[in-house]
Order: sequence, then C-alpha cells, then structure tokens
Amino acid sequence: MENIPIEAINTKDRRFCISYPLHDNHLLASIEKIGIIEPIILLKVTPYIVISGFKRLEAAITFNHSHIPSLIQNIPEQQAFLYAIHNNITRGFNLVEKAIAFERMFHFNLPTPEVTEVITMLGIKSSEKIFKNLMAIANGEKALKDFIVVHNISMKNVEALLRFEPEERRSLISILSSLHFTDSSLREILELLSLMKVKKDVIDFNLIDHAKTMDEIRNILKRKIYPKLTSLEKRLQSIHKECSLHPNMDIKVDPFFEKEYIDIWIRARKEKEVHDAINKLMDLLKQGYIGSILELSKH
Amino acid sequence: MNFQNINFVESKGAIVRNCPGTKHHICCGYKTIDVVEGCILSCSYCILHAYLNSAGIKIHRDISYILSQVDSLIASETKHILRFGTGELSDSLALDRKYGLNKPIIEYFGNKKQALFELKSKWAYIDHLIPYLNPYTIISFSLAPQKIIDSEEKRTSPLYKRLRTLKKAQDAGCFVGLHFDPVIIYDGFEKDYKYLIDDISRFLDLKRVIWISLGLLRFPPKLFNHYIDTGRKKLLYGEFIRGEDGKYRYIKNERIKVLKMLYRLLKKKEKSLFIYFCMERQDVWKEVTGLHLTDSEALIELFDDRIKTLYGRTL
Repeated sequence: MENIPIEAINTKDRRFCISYPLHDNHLLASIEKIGIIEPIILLKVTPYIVISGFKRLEAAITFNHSHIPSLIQNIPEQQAFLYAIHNNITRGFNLVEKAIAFERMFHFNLPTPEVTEVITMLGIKSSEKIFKNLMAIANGEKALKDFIVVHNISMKNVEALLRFEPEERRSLISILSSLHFTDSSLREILELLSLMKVKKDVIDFNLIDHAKTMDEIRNILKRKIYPKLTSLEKRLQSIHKECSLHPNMDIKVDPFFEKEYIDIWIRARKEKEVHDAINKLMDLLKQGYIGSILELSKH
Repeated sequence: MNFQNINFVESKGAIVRNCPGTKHHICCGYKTIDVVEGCILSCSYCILHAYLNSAGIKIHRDISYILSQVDSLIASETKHILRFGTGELSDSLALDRKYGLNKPIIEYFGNKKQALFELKSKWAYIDHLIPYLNPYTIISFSLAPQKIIDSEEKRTSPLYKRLRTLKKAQDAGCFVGLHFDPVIIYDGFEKDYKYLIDDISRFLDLKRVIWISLGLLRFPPKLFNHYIDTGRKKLLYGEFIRGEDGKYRYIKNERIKVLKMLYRLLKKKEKSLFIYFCMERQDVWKEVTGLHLTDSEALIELFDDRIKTLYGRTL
C-alpha cells in the first residue's frame, strides 16, 4: 500500500467506475471522523486511473486530502474491470450499478465465459428484454438513474418508465419524486400514462402536477382514460350513499361491473341484527336500489 | 411472403385438442387441429404474439398421425357433432398453396361424413382445393372493415378478395363461416361495420352461411404491453377492463351495445342466420339474443341443432 498524491491520479477518468451514485453521506461521515482505512485500487499508468474506490476518492477530494492510501496494480484493462466488479461484489449492487457494469462488459469486450460469470454474479436474469433495459438504464439520463436508486424501482417499472421519451420521463419523475408510492401503485400509474400517450398522442402533465397522492393521480387519469367505467363507479357510489347501509352490511359489486351477480354481506352477532339487516334489504329492494345496482352491470 | 422460419417437426403428443376457451365464459366446444403452429400473417392484435414463444413456424407433416387422433375423437363422441379447425394456432390457408396440408384432411372428412372441418383464414386463395372440397368442409374467413385490414392485418388479403373467395366456396357447394373476430371499437366503427355487412349480403348467399361468430377484441396482459410498445392506437381506443379470466376486454355495457348492433344488422339481412359469440358471458348472451345459455354445453347443443337443420340426416 502506498500513499499516493491525489494530483497524480486522473480523477476524471471513470472508465472502471460502476458505483452509482458517488455521493455517499454515510461514507463521508465515516471518512470525516476516521479517515480512509481501505486503500483504493489504481491502475499503473501515468497519471494513475482508479479501478476501485471512486467514492473514497470523492470523499478525499471533498475533505481536501492531498494523499490517498492506494494499491497499485499493473494489469490489463479487462482484468482491471473484473477487479472493479469483484472488489465491490460483497456490498451488493443497486439496479443502476448492475446496468453500468453490464454495459461496461461490452465496452471492455470481455470474453463470453467472463460475461456469463459476471451476469450470474450480479444476479441478472438472462433475457434479451432485461439486457435491453439494462443498456437503456446505463445510457439513461441522471434523473432516471437517481429515481431508480432512491426509490428502489423494480425492473418491471423501469421497463414501463423506459417507454416514455426522456422529456416525458423528466416531467413524470419530477411529479412522482415527492410522493409516496409502492411498486404496484407506480405500475398502475405508469400503465395509465402509457395508455394515455397511445390514446391521446400526448400526456398532459398539467392534469397531475398538483396531485398530492398517488390515489389522486390515479383518479385523475382514470377519469380521462376510462370515462365510462368512472361514471359507473360514481353512480354506484351515489346509490351506496343513498342506501345508507349499516356498518355491518355491504353490497359488493365487481370492480369492473363484469360479474352478473352482486354479493350482499351481513355481519351479525345477534338474531336481531340479522332481522334488522334483512328488513333494511327489503326496504332497499322495494325502493329499487338493489335493482339499480344490478342494472349497472348491464347497461 | 417470408418462408424462412418454417420448420417441419416430428408429431408427438396431442396435435388435436379442445379449444382452450376461457374461464367463466360460454365457449363453443371447438376442436383444434394444430397442423401449423405460428402464422406468417402476423396481425397486430394476434394472440399468438403472447402464446407462441418461438419466432419460427412449426409444421406437423405426419397427417396420418394427426388424422388418427381426429378419428379417435369422432369415434368416442356419442352426443355431439364435432367441429374441427386448423385456424387456432395459425391461419388455415396462408401456407396451404405451398405445402398442401389441408387436402388430405378435407378428403378424410369428406369420406368420414360424421364431423365438420373448418378452414379459418384471412388468406383468400382456395383454387388448389376446389377439386377436393366437399360439404363437410367449411370455408371461413375473418372479416373486418377494410380500414382495420389496412392498419392491423397488413399481410392479409383485402376484404373484397375474402368475399370473392367465400362466394367461390359457396359456388363449389360448401357452406361458409364468417368470423367477426376481433371486432375492434374505433372512431366511426359502427358505420364501417354496417357497410361491411351490406357488402357481405351483396356477395354471399346468406342461407348458405353455416355460422357467424362475433367476438370483441380481448387479449392477455402480455399483449397489452405489446400494443403500448407498438403504439396500436386503434386497438386501445375503447375502454378495457380485466375480465374474470384475467384477459383485457371492453367494458361489458360497450360489448353489449356493439354485439346488439351487429346482431341486429345481420339478422335484418337474414333472419335464419346462426350467430354465436366467442368467449362471452351468460348475461351478455341473454341481453343481446334473449337466449338463456346456462353453460358451454347449451351452446354446443345449439351448434348441433344448426348442423342438423342444414345437413339433415346426412351427418
């Protein structure tokens, strides 16, 4: 191990860098307190090129260190790249890092057995579609990469995000970044937006840019894309309201108004509660409310 | 036409199968003969984009093996008149001129005289089959407004050729089948379907149309993404919901509206037409036709009645 002057390192050359993002608050705090314990790995060329340890180097620069503990390796580029992967493998890679590593393998022209080994090591599913998505992430804009990492976006949702143009993605990410969402709620919103794009040719982001929750976005988009379904839902809500059902009763309708039947639900602890519920149902039948609910699935 | 990815495969296992139908919907009990798996026509909406994994087309050439399976099914059926077809996993006619796959099957059914064989296609060429056609072969075409053919069925025969070929089949003594499937909702579709039905009634003897199927566009979730990725604006025009079988389909009240319109237009042309719905729900049947079908068996019985009406005791 040697203490190398930072000015002897080409800090701009990131050909072996697979870390994303480079800024790491935990690491910064640790280095500020204790300093750099683990040496970085440098390729023996003039000036030196970093093989592994980009985050530590960033931290050293941030804290104005003049030197950094380093291990110097005199190896071919392909091997240096494999070093970079192996040196980071135990910490685990996020999706963007996997994508960068995947894209670089082709840049360094790794032989097929090494490619296969790295793909397995990174836990990448061997599929043409996944490979295509990884390449797109690696070459994607910073906002997309940050969004994927910060929100731990699944590959399925990344694929849905990649359907949009970079400009659309930017607007979308800026709206979604401040909201709380789950994998499935994000998938639903992305599906609705993709559909809106195909149906209407453009996505009107003004519709949703003031929304406070994912539910609000979903409702706005649904009204636009599924006006008939939304109007049936509204009608059902209004009938439900008029029915003023007791909390121990419910009339359940298929969410897509597809099933021919409705489910009537009663919870009772005493005979009287059953009696009351049946009386209530009889009243609703007489007043035509149940008939109206059944009609929603037909017309 | 590109014949590059066509492979002849050894026939193993069941090539003749029950049409898979779909859960919670009324299905017609069709039997499929999967001589060819895959299709060169590659229509944009085709369900094969989701079902068949391999890019190539497989052809089973061991026709005697296949016919032995057909034979066993006919022999074991005691209740219904079986209907077989090769148009489930492929187009029945698109490769036939080159590979002559249908001739022995047509001859088999002509000799057997106990079941019907349907060639379902969008490829309007039957001249090579005319000498072998017999009343037990049904020539059927999928029909759609030319606007849909132009945008979604680009490699298929135009409408007028399909109608002309159907006429040719009727002239050769065959009954013909018409399949409005998938019916696609788009801006102005009602008018186009009305003109289509007008054209059909001008070209064909509607009394010699054995059956007409109506089926609105439906597709598995995998195809939804395919439509999005390929920007199929027409296909995604309507409002889709997920049916009980997991497939996307138009919202039910829209399906009822469209089916009612088509049913009325067709019946207005010829009252005796036998019209059935592919993969529809009981209540849709009731609402559109007034028929109360409790299950798929009830529809199969309607087919039996229809066939008996047209063929009398010859089948």
